[in-house]
Amino acid sequence: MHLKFDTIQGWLIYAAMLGYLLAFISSLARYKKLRTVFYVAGFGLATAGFVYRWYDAGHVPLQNLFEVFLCLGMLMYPLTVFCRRFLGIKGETVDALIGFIILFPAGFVFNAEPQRLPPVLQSWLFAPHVAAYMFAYVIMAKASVQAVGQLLCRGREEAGAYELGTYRMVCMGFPLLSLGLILGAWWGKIAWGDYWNWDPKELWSLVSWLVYLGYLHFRYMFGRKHPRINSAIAVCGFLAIIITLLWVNLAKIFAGLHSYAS
Amino acid sequence: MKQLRQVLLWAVLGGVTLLLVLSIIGAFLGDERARVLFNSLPLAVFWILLLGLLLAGLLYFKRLIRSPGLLGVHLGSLLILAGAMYGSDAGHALAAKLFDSKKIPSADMQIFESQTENHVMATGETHFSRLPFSVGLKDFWIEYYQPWPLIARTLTDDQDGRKKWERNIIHWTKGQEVAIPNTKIRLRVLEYLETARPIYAEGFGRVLEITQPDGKKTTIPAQVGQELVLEEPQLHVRIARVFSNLKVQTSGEEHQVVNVPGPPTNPALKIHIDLGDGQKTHRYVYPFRQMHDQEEDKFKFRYLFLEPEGAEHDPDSHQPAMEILLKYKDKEHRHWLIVDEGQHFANLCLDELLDTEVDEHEQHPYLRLNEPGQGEIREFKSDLVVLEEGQVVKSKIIEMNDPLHYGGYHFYQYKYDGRAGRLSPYTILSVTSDSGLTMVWLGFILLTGGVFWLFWVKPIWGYLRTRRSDAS
Repeated sequence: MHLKFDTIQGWLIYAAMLGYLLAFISSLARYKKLRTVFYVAGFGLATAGFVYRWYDAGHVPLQNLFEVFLCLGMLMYPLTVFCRRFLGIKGETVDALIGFIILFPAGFVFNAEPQRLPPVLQSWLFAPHVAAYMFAYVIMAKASVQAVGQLLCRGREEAGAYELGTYRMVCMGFPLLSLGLILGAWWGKIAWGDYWNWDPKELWSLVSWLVYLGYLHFRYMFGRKHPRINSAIAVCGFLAIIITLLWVNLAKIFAGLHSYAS
Repeated sequence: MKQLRQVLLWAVLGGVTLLLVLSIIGAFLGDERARVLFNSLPLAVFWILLLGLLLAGLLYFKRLIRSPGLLGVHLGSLLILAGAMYGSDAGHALAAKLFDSKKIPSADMQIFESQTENHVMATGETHFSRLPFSVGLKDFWIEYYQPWPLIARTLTDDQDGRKKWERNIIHWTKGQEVAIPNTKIRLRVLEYLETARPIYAEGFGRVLEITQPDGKKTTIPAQVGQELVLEEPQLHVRIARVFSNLKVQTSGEEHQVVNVPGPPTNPALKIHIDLGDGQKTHRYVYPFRQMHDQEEDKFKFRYLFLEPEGAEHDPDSHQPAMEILLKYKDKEHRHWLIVDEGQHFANLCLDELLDTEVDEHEQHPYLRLNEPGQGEIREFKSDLVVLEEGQVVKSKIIEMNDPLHYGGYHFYQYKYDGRAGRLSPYTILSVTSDSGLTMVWLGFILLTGGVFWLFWVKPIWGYLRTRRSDAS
């Protein structure tokens, strides 16, 4: 447990969390305008926290789990807006809650002590490799929310909308997931001598990529004939992402080349 | 045909699921065992089947050819798989059998500073192999994030009032005055040179000192070829060799004196002496002891390291230097802390300034310019040259994320002597074959381009066209 009440960084995160939480509560109480105000405020504060971290650390803050979660928390609002505007996917209430949940580990669990970049991380590929994954992860998180919605929903029409929402989100996130994997492989070649090292984190990221690859093929084969299977695969994909992101970094049994990110 | 396509699609799902399960198993095994698993014979069969499946997909699904996005994704995957198989250990073994290729898939190479090497230890092998060219290491060094820290070792009182030694790191900034803990000394850093060489009053810092029978002393620079000729008593001395690290290697009955690369722990001079009486001898002289001086010797010889006067910037050096001003009571003292070649620190004894009484262990208070720790390392670098038939054909300073590429191999900064740190006399390079790499790179580009085309560019293009037609 790392409380950050004694730093500006900490207060920015806590204020952003409060913004997201109030947006969630306002949304439940059907105060739409208030929800928007709190959601935008939460996003602004999370962005301020990210920029402050960038300045404080002196490098793109995507090195450790604290920085990654801060970045993920910041990306929720733009994703919500984009999905509503261009993909017709709603879900502001859940998105605000996800934003709050994502920021929680940054605010309370992970150490925020800025770290110097070890030689291996000093590459221009560092930022795009991690950033591609970050974008992909929040998109896939939203996809899995849509999938869970489909699995829990009773109404046929609503379930259909959720299924379509899942598919569109996966289509949006899959290229970024592929880009993250390929940039990682390219960087691996430059830094370690091989583009594939069979490292546990590499294998788990391959697993998440394969699950979505399976999802796309399955949906191509059967379309919307088995919507519950489609959704179940999408949820499995996100579970694989959670394992890639957290378990590999935190559990000692998976110690490997990516261990510096813990 | 429709049935065949259905079979292919189910085979794809089966293949993806199998690879997924194997990847999870591999993640639990750890990288080394996972590598063995994925390179095993059954998996080789699996990879070939997967390759066949991709080919069959391209042949039997016209959509995969007609859609640029789908074509990019599937052709890209095929190329990655084929390139990876070609570049694998098994691929190299097959190329050796079929085409008599001598390429080594991966290896380690240890090179000492100022030496060249073409021997490599291939991964998993116990004997050395040879590259068709040599690689030389001009220099290895470490760069740090921060200037070197200052450490003060001073006496303080413990809880019971007894004296005890304490080490403190002094957080210094050039030009600013700080206190040395547990003393009344104020310290100001006047100059800090990241890469410096010492300056000597006579232009050189190492000399051969010759003491004549009457006690008269003469010095000559400690360089090969330097000599001194005296008439009365007669002497002709000439420096034949300068050692930074003299060692005696014994092989059977033979003893050989060699200069071993690495930290200069045993500097010495080899001198030729002619006393004019028909006796011509040679002798080794050292800076710290005179074990070879004998009572009957008329002349005495010593290898002396002189105190430098100051320091100046030298881009070729990896030793820092710092000029400090110490203020104590009314006195001011200027000093240079110059880290000597092969040393991890430079000390300034504070005895005289503090008038401290030396304790029973003869410990002294000091100020030390000290090498930073591991966490402060910004980069390790090796200055490499590639030689073919004695000619330099390529040179590059490599570091993490910036390897050298030559002759079908990549050379990576991999390891060094961790205990010697920045004074490591050697570097270990990781050498990797580039076979199949072009195919893999092309596959990466096609796969990424294809997947973005399919899921981003095409829908955005469609969206914009719909908007335009709606507007018109």
